[in-house]
Amino acid sequence: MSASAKTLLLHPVLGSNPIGLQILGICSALAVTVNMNVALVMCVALTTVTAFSNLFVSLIRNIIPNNVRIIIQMTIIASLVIVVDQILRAFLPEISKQLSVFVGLIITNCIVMGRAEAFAMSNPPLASLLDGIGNGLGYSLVLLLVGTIRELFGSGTWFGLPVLPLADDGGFYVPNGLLLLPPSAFFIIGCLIWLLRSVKADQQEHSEFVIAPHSQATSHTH
Amino acid sequence: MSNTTDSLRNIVFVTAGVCLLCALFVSSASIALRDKQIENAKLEQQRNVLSVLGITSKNAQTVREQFATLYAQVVDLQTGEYANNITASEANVKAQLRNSEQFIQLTHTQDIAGIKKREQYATVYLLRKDGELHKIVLPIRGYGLWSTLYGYIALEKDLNTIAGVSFYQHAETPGLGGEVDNQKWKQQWVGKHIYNKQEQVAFRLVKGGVIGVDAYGVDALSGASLTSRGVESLIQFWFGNDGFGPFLQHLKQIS
Repeated sequence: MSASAKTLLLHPVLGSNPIGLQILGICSALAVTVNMNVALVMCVALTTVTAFSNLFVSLIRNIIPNNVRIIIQMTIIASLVIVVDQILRAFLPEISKQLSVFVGLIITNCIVMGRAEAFAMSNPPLASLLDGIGNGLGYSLVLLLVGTIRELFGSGTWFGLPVLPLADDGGFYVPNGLLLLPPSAFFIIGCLIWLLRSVKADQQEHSEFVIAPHSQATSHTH
Repeated sequence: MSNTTDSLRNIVFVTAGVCLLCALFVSSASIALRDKQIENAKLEQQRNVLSVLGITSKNAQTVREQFATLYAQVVDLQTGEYANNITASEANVKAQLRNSEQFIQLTHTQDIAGIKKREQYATVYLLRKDGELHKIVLPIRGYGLWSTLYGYIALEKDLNTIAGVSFYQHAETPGLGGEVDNQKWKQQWVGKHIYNKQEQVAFRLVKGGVIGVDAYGVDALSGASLTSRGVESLIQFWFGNDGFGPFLQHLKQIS
């Protein structure tokens, strides 16, 4: 794998994480991370859609008319999402029901549209495909981390398999109900962003201005 | 570059091309996957019927085997008798409700459950043990607050005691009306009676909770008066004269 292909795939995982740095795609991260099975399927779905939408947009980037380009990107993304939804309903009906509207909402996920517009419109197909996969991987990392924390401490299981014995079943662990509610994902993502920016100081946003100390209105003799 | 890409000819050509290709892509996928999806829907329905009988396996093979032990019978709701010349697939409710000859339009006083139309044929499921009727599953539906609740109810062989209930489809408010899915609440239904000694539908949802021992009541849902009322009404309808009332009377006579 060439150095640039590796960069395209791995840079969005930690160096430019779509959720961690670009702060995109948060909504689905809140809703589908209650358990790992659902989160994993969502990750695969989003990575597939982002990768292929990047590829297809990139393939026709030179002939897309400028004034309808957003709509054309939308059409491509929407078609991909519909097909992914249909595939899930055919082969994973239980999980598809739990994901309900969130698969359809991939269309509105900023990551997909963002990469199509920011990268695929001005880069060759293979690079775009890799960039799509890379961003999908970055998104997946965050989702799986949040999902692990929420499922482990919210239900005592991981991928449905019992890890912490629940007090109700005679064990010691009393599950934290807050982690089963969406706001908990918000807090966890916030902490992850904090952690990421502590480790990678270059991702910290610096204030564009610093407030000066109070000054008295004086006549300018000093 | 921008001259040719923004020309009218190019816009029309690219837009039409993208739409055509996307449409082809989506429709081929849809058609290729349709059979599998229909099969999933069927399995889902079988699972729903089995769930009110207390069989909760998710395994496809087990579901198919268990479902095969049930007898699906088509019932003529008007006469209350078995309609032996109609197959289960012909008794599809949605298809009947579209065919003006196969449903009756309910009058305002009849339409307690808010379903507007009632089909002519319904499919019921009998579980037999040692050649005798053991339990029976009836499909029920009625309007709650935001949506029509679709479910199944299972009765014991006395055709009065509830063996199980489940609403497999609804769009009631999660946490309020959505608590129709609460296992503990559904468990309250088991063992309750529908009809009282005067053969009237006495089953109801009690606001504020059931006090003491009540053979005909379960708790109403907290914060969900209209959904609770809807559930009570749909039970009244489907066990009344416009629902399965005639059929259950007929069944009592022949067993």
